Amino acid sequence: MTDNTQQANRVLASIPARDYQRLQVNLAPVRLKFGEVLYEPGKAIKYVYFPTDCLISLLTTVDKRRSLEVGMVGNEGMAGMPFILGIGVSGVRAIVQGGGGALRMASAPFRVEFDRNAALQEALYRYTYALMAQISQTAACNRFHDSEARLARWLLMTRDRVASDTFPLTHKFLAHMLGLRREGVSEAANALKRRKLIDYSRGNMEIMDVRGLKKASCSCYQTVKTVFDRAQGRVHPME
Amino acid sequence: MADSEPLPMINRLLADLPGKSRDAILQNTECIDLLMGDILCERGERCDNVYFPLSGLLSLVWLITGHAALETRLIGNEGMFGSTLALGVQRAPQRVVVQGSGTALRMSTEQFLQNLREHAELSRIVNRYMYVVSEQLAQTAACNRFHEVESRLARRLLMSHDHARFDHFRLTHQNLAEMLGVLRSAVSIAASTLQQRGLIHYSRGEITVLDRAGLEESACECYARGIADYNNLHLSV
Repeated sequence: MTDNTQQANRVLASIPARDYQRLQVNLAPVRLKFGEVLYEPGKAIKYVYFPTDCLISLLTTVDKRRSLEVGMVGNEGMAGMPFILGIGVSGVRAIVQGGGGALRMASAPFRVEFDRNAALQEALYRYTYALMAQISQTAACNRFHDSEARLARWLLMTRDRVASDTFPLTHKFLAHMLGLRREGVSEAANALKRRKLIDYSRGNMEIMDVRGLKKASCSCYQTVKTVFDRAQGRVHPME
Repeated sequence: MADSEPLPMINRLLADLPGKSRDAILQNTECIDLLMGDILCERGERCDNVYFPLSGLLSLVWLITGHAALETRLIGNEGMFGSTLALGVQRAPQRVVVQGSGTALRMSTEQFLQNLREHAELSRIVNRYMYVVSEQLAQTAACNRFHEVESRLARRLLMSHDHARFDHFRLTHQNLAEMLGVLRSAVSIAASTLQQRGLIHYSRGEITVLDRAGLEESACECYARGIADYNNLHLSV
């Protein structure tokens, strides 16, 4: 038996119904609020989260003040990747970037279930590979690409994960994600707005022209998307 | 680390294995030479072998359309290339180039996968290593975004120095430009600054570390943090 919550997260959706039933006993639906901190670097991970319609940002901090988003977790994945690798401590700060629902599981039952559930293991291992590729790509992207292209990429990644063309967003928040000053964010956002690719007002972002935004984005958007699609079997492996 | 103390010929991942599994696993490896500039695997290709460096360095190079290559990660005797095979993906995520000559233990992918199934301890060590790698990658992303070329160069030279058997090693301007993702002219300026301060001597692609402590001070925090992360994890398992 499957239900709607299983289908709402792509990792869970890839697990055979029988395996999911056993998992479901320990999964609790939760609502996550914008700005909520789920993990701190160096601290124990208490829960793993399978987003259904929330969006979680993984941030690295350097020099005690500057932060940068290195990964994004939406309904294609799971927050708590260290657990997949047998580590109970987070390396990054995880905060809720888009409020919404998730299925939460305490770390102890997760570990037990992960060890005995081959389908879950396979799905999460593949997801880990894709997430690591996303982090690598971000390392290179930050070196080479200008803020406008990076903002366009970020908006597209968010759009894919929240499955919506509009979402709440502040300049301050974007500055943290992209590792820019607020003025830098304004400049990039205005440039995209002038080209009628987005509309932005009072903390609300609207994507007006997806195709145009894809052109404005760096190639990193497509590269990472392909890795994820491939990892989840939505593209033929040799493509 | 003492200035020119020879490094023991050992791979630290394999050294962590219990004696019995280690002996069995070592039987499936052969020792090969790593030659500077050799490409061990291209991005997107199937990995036929995994490598555990004993000495020398492997560099993982990220290729972005329209840009020069960029090194995202270094692998020395603390790690291995091919760990992501344990995640069930056979394709190499990045190009792997030898960035410092030395030796490595090579094992075929089939043997590696079989060993992972037979030795739970190996699987644990490889997974733990991938966690460290993900931390390093995240740190590098932030470092690339925020830190000056000079402190990134200092960090990168320290990493090479850690794995070199002597205080001098070969790295051309072109090599360094690709590692840092900057123009050669920017490498020249940063290297001259470090040289003027008496931290390194640099001539014709040969780098000599003159003042290691000074170089550590010039490096961004990412250097010390990378080592601390690795050591913490090492002790905790």
